[in-house]
Amino acid sequence: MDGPVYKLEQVVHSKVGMEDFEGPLDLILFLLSKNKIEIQDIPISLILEQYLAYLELRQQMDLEVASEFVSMAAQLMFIKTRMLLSMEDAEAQSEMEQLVKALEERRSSENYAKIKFITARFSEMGEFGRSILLKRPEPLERGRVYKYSHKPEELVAAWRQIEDRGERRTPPPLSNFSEIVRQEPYPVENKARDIMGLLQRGVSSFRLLFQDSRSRSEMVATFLAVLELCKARIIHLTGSASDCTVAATGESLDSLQL
Amino acid sequence: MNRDMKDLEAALEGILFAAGEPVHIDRICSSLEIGRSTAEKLLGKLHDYYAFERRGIRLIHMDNAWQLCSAPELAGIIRRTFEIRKPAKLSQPALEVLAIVAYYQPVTRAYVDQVRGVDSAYTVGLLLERNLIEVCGQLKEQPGRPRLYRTTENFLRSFHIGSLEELPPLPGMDDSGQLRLDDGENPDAAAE
Repeated sequence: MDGPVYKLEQVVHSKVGMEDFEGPLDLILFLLSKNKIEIQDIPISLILEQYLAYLELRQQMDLEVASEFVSMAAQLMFIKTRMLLSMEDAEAQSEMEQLVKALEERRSSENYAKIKFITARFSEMGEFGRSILLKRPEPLERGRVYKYSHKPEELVAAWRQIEDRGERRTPPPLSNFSEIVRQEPYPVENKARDIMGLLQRGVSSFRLLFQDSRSRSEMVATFLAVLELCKARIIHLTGSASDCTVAATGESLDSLQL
Repeated sequence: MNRDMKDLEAALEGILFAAGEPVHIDRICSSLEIGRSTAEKLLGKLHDYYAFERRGIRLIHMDNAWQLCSAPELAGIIRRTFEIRKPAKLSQPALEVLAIVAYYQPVTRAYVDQVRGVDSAYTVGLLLERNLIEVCGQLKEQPGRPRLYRTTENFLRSFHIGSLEELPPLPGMDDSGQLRLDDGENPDAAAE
């Protein structure tokens, strides 16, 4: 059992070269995959059982290959046993690590070969994606641009509404108010004329102008007439609030504009 | 096909057109008030119609999301119309990384590096940018908390596969347990 590690490596390397050679490493990988176990904890007994079963199948095979299997399995078990018996056995540890590393590398490189193989297919498949064009989603969030649709009749209905509202806006006829607002009984213009008459007859007291007034509205009309006459500078008032006199300025009544 | 089914098919077409983006089948079911099997039947019918009548659009699906796209054979004409260039082809390294992620997902970048035997940081970034792969988690208990990657919906669309189950089988991954690198179909590809 001197230098069996070299043999292991040789098997690993020869396999990488893709020879049509089913070495022990293939077997280990196969067994590993069958048991679905981690490389890190190879259960020797299980592998041994399956290995023996495998060997039976291979009895007709090339003896040289078969013998290499035996040597290989023995070596594997030897490493494993040493590892189990003495965890401090650095040499056994490193040998095991080497084996694990070799197995992992082997597995990666196999995976890589598979991946490389499949990329040719991928390249073809990817052509589809390079050839299709996609539409953007319709803007479901409506912007400011109006996008609803209407029937023409809706415009007619809208116009009718405007018309209805327009009728209501024109002012109601005066006759509607005849009962509420009657024509003023004492036109300011007449009152102004009366006042000028009074002034010509020598009346000068402001208070006397209201003497003939029979109602509140007549008094209001008289007062308004006084104001209008003052504004037109036809008359002018002098004195205080209690004693007020009225005098004509001499201006003609014609300049009064009501 | 009875009247109702025809109406449903039309409604389906309208929804897919307005959506533009992929629409999940559950959404279709709830808005049309139909069962999943009916929806699938209708979608299948619409898909076949576009393909058989050689219409300008096609119906594709990514897992359970359905989407309309332009017919691939019209790519040249459409590109000419809008003066757009053909998207760049994925490089061999990009295809390799993509394939590794596709078949072994979720994977860490370290795994990708290990399989390829070279650093793949740039390529992983490129694929992320192209939205062909995405981050789907983190290995919290491992040193460095490496991120995990998986393929995206865009990957399924770009490679015209309905789901990951439709990926072509990797050579030698058959159940016989035989590790064959060349499966006889294309021995040159493996030997490369």
